[in-house]
Amino acid sequence: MKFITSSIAGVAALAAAVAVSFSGASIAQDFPSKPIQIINAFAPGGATDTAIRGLTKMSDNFINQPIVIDSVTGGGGVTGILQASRAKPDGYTLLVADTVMTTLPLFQENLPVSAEDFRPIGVFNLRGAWLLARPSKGWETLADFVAAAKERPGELTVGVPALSSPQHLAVIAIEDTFDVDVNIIPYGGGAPTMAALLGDQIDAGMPGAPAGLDSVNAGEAVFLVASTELELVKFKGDMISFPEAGIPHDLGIWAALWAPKDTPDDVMAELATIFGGMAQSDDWTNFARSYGVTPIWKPLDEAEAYIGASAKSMSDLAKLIK
Amino acid sequence: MTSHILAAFADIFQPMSFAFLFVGSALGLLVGVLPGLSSPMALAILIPITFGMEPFSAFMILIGIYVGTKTGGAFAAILIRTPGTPAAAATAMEGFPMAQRGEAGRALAISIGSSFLGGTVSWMVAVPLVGVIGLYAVRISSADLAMIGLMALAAVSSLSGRDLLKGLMSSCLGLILATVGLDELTGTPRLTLGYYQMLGGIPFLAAIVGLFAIATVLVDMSEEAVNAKPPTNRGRFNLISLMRELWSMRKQLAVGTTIGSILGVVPGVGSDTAGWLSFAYVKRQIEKGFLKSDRKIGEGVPQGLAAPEAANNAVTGGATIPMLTLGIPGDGSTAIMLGALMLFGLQPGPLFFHESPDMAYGILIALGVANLTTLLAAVLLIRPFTAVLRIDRSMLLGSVLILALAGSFASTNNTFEMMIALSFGVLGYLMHRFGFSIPAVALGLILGPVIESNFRRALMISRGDAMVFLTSPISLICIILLTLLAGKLLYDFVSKSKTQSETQNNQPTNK
Repeated sequence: MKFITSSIAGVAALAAAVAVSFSGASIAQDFPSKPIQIINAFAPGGATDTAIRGLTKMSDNFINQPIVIDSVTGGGGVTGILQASRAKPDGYTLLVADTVMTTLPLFQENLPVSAEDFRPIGVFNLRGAWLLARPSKGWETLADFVAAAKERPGELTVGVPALSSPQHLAVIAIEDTFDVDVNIIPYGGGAPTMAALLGDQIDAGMPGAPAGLDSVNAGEAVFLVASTELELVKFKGDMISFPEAGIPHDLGIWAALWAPKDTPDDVMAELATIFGGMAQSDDWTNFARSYGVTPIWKPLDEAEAYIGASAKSMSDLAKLIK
Repeated sequence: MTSHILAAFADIFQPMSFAFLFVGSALGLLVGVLPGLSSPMALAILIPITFGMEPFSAFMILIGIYVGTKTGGAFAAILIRTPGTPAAAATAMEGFPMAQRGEAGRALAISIGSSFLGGTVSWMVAVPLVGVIGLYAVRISSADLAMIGLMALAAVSSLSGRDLLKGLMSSCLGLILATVGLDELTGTPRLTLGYYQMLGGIPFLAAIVGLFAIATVLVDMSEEAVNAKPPTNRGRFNLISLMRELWSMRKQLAVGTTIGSILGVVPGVGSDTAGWLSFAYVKRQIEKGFLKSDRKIGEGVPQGLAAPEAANNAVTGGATIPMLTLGIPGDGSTAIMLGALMLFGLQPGPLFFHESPDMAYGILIALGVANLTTLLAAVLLIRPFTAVLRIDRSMLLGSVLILALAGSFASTNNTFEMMIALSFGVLGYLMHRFGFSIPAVALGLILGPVIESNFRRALMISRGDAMVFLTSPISLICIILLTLLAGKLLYDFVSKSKTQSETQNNQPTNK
């Protein structure tokens, strides 16, 4: 009896397997049939981690499967990116990563993985790097800062979260445009940069949004310029971006979802539909606004073009680093 | 402010909120007990689960975990000489010998009581100062941080280990290992041996698990340990005698609490350092005869257990308050809590206490009450946990090894971390064999990056002017203390070798 039941089960399983293999063409309709894992290569609690958690918070409205965010840290971010690149290209293991995908190879040689190993599913948010100073400095605009920098060449200290980060490149862009020279101090993260700024240890800071948003709203810090358009961000007072300030660079810190490069087109399209739905939902756009980032959605080819242009502008700026 | 605080107390003592805080504490204790599992990891895993909850209830769980892990680390340290968290490493020094004497229950009770007192007292001091703690925290400059780190390292390495030279050598080894990875200030990879996994430095948690947990297993498997006494538990738990005992150690508890409260505010120098510094203080007191004890340090002195436990819980207030008032997290756990607050649409920072007083004061008060729920949960867990002692030693060691490896894997989801843990296990075993100081290596690893990058950053800001270390008061005080310590050690060292050579010279004539 036991034998019979087990063979019935076996036949059923076989039939199911055959059915699955014949329905290969409609794979996208069944997708996803199991949980989707998103690898985040950087420490939990950071801006990209918070953004992806905010994006997928209401994922139940879009898919019936759970989305699991996995932190695979270490190796300066390389470990997680590499692990995602080696995953089976079936759309069930994805990567969330920001501009680091394009800045990492600018400064590190012989990395075992690069953006070439992935296809972007979509860019889902954009943050600015913003230049902040304490009100006690008496600077109200970027012009005041530039004037002070010209007066004391090489003396003004500007904190950035890390060397070769978009924030660092943004300071380089300011230096290059206005022909000034400032003392750039890397602080090893957005939080220590803000701490140094609020503790009056540096003259200005260039953290990435949303660090410092609340300090600006409380009048503890003055907003001088943002490296990209900041529409939709809840901010007290005027906002001025690089293009408006006459700086010929648009340096957004974008975050994107990626899939391993051999992921089939129909799965990519399905993923873009699923995450596009989340990225255009009110839940996400409202959250992003109050969090301090700009919600955008650039899927597939659009994302590829956008990321390519951003990489080009960053590598041009990187050449200016002394 | 007072009305908000009272309202927060009322919110927390609602049955449901209190239950969530209690559940969080119990979870935190379990996470703390397992070597390699840390509170940032547990918080990151739990955040998606809390999405469906009210923000306030969610935060009761998260705060409970944060505080609970600080206490839980001591259980494993005392019962199996394997610290469950890096912060509890100092706890094993006296806690395990006490367990070997048959006082496992007493040691656990003391550690739980000290954790509670350290956490609660530091919180009571912090609450009225909530507005200014963050402001002082950001005033600590790079120059100050470098010198605070150096001072802590010198204080611990001069006291740990049997002889000074080996202690210093151990610290230097830790400092050298800390240079591995990308240079924070230039982006150059250093000593990575071509492994991209090392770009971010030696995986810290895995190294600590290796040095303390795996090395302990190896030591226990070696010959010397076979004859050693296994830890046992005799005697019954008695609340009155515990309170009497804690009262008799009030001075050590106060010092531990003070060290923890201050270091909690200093970024990058968290609970691990606080524990060792407090231990070093008790050790010095006993060696100098200021503290009467019928036992030598390393033989199970209760004070040497109480001070570090008070210290590592006392850091919670200092690390959390700048996160609430300035939006600047003090450690990995508070960084994740900051992210979680933002996911709930809240914006910690200067306006947080005005715009969301329910939540801001709720978290502030929960931080204190969590010490109470952790105490309750821990007392309930003493008995089940001491059952570990009845497990056959060989089975236990195998389980610890598996847990340690699983924990180091889980810290980053990488097998490379397991290799690091094993390598550091062997290193730790060899260091133990030859009398080098494992805590000094660990502290070198922790403080190395703090000292190095802040030292260089200070010089970058001052554009190469070393006077920056003398013009800042905190840095200046540290330099003076360091000079005194170095002078004292040199004097002791010279006079000791003089007496040694004299006795050697005298020996032939006596014969």
